[in-house]
Amino acid sequence: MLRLVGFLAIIACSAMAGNLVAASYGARTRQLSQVRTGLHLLESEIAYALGALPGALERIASGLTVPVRRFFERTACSLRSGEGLSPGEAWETALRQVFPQTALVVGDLDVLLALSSHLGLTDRDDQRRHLRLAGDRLAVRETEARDEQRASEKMWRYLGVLGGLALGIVLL
Amino acid sequence: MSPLDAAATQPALSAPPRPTGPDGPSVASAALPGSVTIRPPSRDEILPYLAPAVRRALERLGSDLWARAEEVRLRRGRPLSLVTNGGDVWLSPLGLPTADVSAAYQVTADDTQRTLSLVSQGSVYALEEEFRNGYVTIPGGHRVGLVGRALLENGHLRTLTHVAGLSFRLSREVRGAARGVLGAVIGRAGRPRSALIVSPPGCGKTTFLRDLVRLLSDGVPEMRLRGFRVGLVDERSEVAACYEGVPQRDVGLRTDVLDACPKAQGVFLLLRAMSPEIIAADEVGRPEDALALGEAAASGAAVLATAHGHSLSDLAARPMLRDIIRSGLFEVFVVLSRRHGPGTIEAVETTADGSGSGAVSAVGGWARA
Repeated sequence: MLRLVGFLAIIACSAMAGNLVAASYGARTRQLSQVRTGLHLLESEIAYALGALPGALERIASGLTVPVRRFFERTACSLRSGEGLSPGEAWETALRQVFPQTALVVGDLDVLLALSSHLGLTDRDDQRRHLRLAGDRLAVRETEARDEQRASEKMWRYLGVLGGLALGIVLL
Repeated sequence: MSPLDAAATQPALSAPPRPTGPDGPSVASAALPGSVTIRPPSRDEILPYLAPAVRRALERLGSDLWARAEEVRLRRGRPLSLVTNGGDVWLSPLGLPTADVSAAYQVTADDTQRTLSLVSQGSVYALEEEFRNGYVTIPGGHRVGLVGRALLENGHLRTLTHVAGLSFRLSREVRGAARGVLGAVIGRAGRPRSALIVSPPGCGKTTFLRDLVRLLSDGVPEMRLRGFRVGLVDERSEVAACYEGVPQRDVGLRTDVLDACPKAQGVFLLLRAMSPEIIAADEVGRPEDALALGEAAASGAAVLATAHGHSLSDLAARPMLRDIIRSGLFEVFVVLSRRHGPGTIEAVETTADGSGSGAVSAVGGWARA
């Protein structure tokens, strides 16, 4: 009887561990989707609200969660500080500072960095074009990330349960 | 001659007091009739909008030179310069005035780009309207003029690209500038009369109008003059220098400012909505302006306005303004020049009914070097 309980406990723990690892694969997809939301909102701010960039970035940040929110927050913050940074430089600095805290990969970062040479500096249509382009490229990466996530999640869940089963059999 | 009229003829604009300390406000009390207080623009209002390299030069600039500065000019690939009431000055990278062009700081493409970015708060895209007008107003009421390559759409200026030249035109508040003509504007009846202020650019028209509006709005107790409700259509945001709707310059307690609105539409809105006793507008010149101002006068409001020109006969040569003058809309004409520095009152003329003040010649000039 006691053996059976131990056996089940091993399987349960192992399955849980597998689930945890699987869940971590969702982080990149979630963050990519948040970045896309942020860029989309920025596009609307620029197209319609006509607010200045720091205010627009702050409004966008308030609707997002950490760590993606920090991209927008820090950019706004360094623009407001009056150090003479261009919006592109502020954006690039924020990206590089916050990147290690995210689950994003270097390819995602590159898409965002490409924005820095245009951000805020050209007319409305041009801003929209660049933001939309970045959004589209991120959307492709998000789809890829999601497929990858599904496969990996499935693998880790199975691995958890089956690993537990194997360990149980070996031990008992 | 009534006591009110006396103010019109006395040499009211006394020598300006010297500013104290670095950029500090001058000490003279604004309460004294006839005294003029100049508030030089604070450096803190300008520096945050300049690219770091240019900022460094201006930080080190001597405060006496800064106090005389009228404009800061950035032209890509050419020396950084300061326009003062004593002429143009080239600035070295350390902020020293220099006559040697090669020793002056050369403005780079990066400088103009960064300055534009700072002036627009990183939002060049939001400046399309400003690009069309050619300038941006920053807090403090300073005006940043822009030139670059024009981008047309259907033959009209849509926006500017490659902005390569910026001029920071420093706005200064001169309290008491218009005291000398207050008597003429008020007249015997103790009610404001319509006045047109005429001068070439850079002679202090806008400063003068701002002070006149402030005086009439606040009232002048020493002259037993009550305050009037003033409606100000500030099409170019120069008079009240509104930033997000709030005047950055003192335009008086009873002044309602309609910021950035075309005069023709603005005058009607103010008449409908704010029941002004005085309507003020800067730089009239288009036919629809004349129509709107005529409407304001007909509704019983006094009209204060400014126009470009060297003299009244100069205006008479321009059809639109000639019609305004002939219509009898304006009862008082003030002509300014910079003979003794900006704000020199060349003449004050009143039409027929006359307060008896006649003409006042070449008084003052509030910024004599």
